Amino acid sequence: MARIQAHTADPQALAAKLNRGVRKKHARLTYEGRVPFGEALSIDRWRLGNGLAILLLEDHAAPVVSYHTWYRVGSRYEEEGKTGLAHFFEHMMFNETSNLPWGEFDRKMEAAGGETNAATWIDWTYYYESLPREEVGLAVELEADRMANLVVREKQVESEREVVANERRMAVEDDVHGAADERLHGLAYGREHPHGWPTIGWMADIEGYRVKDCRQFYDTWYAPNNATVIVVGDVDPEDLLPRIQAEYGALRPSKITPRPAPAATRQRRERRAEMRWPTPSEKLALAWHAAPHASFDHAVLEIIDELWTGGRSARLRRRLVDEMEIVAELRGGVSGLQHGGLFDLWLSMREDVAAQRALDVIDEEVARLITEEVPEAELSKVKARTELFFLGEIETTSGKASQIGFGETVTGDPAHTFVRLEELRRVTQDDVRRVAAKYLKPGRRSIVHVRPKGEA
Amino acid sequence: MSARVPGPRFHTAAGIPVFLEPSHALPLVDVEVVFRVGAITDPEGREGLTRLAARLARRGPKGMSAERFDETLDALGATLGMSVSTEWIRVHGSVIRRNLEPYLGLLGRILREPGMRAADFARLRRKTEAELVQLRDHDRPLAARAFRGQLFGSHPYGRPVSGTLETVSEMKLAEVKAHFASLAVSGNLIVGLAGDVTEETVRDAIEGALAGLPEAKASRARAPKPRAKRGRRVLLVDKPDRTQTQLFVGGLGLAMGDPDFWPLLVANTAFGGTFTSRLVHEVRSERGWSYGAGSKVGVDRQPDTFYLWTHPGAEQAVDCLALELELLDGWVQKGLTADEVRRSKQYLKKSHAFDLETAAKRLDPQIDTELFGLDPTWLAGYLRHVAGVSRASANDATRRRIPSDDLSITLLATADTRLVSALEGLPGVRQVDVVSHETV
Repeated sequence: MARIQAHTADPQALAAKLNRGVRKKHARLTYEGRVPFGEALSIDRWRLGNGLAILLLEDHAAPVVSYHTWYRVGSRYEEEGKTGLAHFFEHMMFNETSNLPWGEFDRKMEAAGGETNAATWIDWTYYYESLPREEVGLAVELEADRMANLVVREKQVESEREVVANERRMAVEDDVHGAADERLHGLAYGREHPHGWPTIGWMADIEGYRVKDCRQFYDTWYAPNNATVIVVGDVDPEDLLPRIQAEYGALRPSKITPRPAPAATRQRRERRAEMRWPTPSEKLALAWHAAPHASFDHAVLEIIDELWTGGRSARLRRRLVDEMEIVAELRGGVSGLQHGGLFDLWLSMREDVAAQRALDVIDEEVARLITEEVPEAELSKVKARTELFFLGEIETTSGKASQIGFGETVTGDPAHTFVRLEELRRVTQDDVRRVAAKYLKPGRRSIVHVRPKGEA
Repeated sequence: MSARVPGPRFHTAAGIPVFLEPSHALPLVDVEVVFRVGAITDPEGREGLTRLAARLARRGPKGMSAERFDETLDALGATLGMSVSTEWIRVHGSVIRRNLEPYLGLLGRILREPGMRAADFARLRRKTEAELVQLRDHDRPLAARAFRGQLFGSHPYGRPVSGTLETVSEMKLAEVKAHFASLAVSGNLIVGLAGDVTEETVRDAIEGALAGLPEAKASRARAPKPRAKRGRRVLLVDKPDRTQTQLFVGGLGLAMGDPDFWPLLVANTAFGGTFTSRLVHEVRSERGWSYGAGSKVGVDRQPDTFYLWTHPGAEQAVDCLALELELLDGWVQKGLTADEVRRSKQYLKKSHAFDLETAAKRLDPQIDTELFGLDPTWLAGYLRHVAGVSRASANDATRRRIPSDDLSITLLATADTRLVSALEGLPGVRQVDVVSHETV
């Protein structure tokens, strides 16, 4: 990789300079060290006195900046009856603050040529702005403002409730994959488990949010000590950091009681459910309980996923889609969670083909992984593909910021994506056999079988 | 930003233009081979021919089975796809830099000597049929396909690029082979590489990969200019159990290089191109009727589609459509305010930095300039063109080109008499046709 980074020569000296004359303890900056991000880049870790973590990666390849704010709150931090609140705030946060009228956030962002959006999942919620380099100050100002000053009243809650309900209709109520996936998570974890309810929330819960619930959620989780700001791109730390001190330095930390890990699932036997849907063919959504993202076994499961569904020559794709011609659509994935996720498959059968035929093949392929060594050439092929995707993910400033934010929030290491790349490279044939035998057991599996409506 | 110097450009011995956009930040290369014609070459009644031909070629060259070809690509750490549109075919992929030369070699072989085997063809045809059936699960693409068909009718732009169950099932290998052979000639191709490349290191590999391609001039196949149908016509695509409605409203868009392109880019950005635009503000922010909303002026060699897209809940579908018609009338008749035009121009100007962020993004306008035979300053002069748009020119172009009386309106929803009757009652609606989603 070419060196495209200008390192801050002496961060400690910079910290001393920036703290000169700063009286508010929350606004004082501490330099916490440098983390390599591959061979050519590195991340400087800073922290404000109020607990806000700042991860800064200078990349002067293009005159743009990505500004991410990752909050350590996702759907597993919710309660039964109030599911979807984390995602609901992903919407609410674009509304008015006590300093900014409704609509002004987006107007200012567009005037700056910025792109902004947000996402929520089980462990996190993040917000991002991608801006021309000269506009980075706007992101600092707007993100700091909405971290503390969001207006959460009846009018704001009502205006977003219908939008979110419509998002749910699009993603779940009218979408066979979304509906089956929601059912699958409920089946695998139980509907009352924090991983078992949908991140978007149950429709009844969305319809029932009260202002008090929303206010409490915001006050608890939207605070500097529960967030990490990631800045990647064409920035000068000597310009950026004083802006962050000025905008976030007055914010007070929240009292956050550490949230225990969700209870381990007690599944011992295969679980099955059936759905009827207006669809032309049968579907299967199935999943095994998997490993936490930070574990080496998760890397091995990623390899198995690639081996099964990755390229056109992947095992399941070749057999089910090309040779037997019984599956029209095949997807696989391993969820990247702090406390264990799912290794899942989605299959849409060809018309008039019974899903059981595909399930039989999957069982055979599980047995093959456990009893036969994966040929070294096949393993190398899979690793080459994962390397290609890794490079693609860090091509843009926003891509790098996403990887850093995800790594920091889920594993505690902002450069975890490089750790993962190394783990993927050292997966052996024995690792594949061991992990397949450990995780791909019938007793860890849940299956949702979708059948066309009207079929006998 | 627009003054930046594009990467090197050269021609192969056979005259194929090659565009390079170097970036050495990562050991990664994106490769594109673009054909200057696409599905408009499908004869009437043979819809899907070009796409089948391209996908069959993708199954590997002579002397290498489809399975072996895919394994080899995967082992190189590479992807390779074939996309077919009305006016072009794009062979595109990415590869880890160290494997670029063998990758280009394989790419060249599927262009020069595609296997086009009978067994692969039979399998591909069945797969394509299965995909057409699966499309019924995907409401938005299904509605979009119906909208194009409704708008363009029998014009080549209205014919489905992926064909229909009837046309695909009747396709013969001989015609597919002959069709690909007629397309894969030197004059039809444009090559682009973006990423960790220099002219010195890749020139020989590109020359070698493309050597031996049949030399012939570019295809002169052209679709006629499409004509708008008169009046507001509604097509209701009936699908059971829908809780929300996929809604497309629109008419003809623009041809590449049309002088109204820049004024309409500014105008449409203000109307439905950003989160604060009129359409999104009224439909989503004010009323919460649709999670997604937007409008787009599509461009192609001939005028493509202009459309508004939303997906309101079933209960709000008619009200949402009525609002969209009202907004459209207001835009065309009264135009945009000076402030809307100013904000749109500022957004387009400042966000342009992201159009140039990666080498692949910088390559795209160069390829399009060549593909559509544009003046080299057309896309490269983006900032100058946007700056030159005035409120008057934006509003004049809107009045000239944005339809509000002659509209195709496509809804994918669960049909009932109440819905049909409400649609018939909308201003200017001439007819409402109802079709099953299984027939789209």
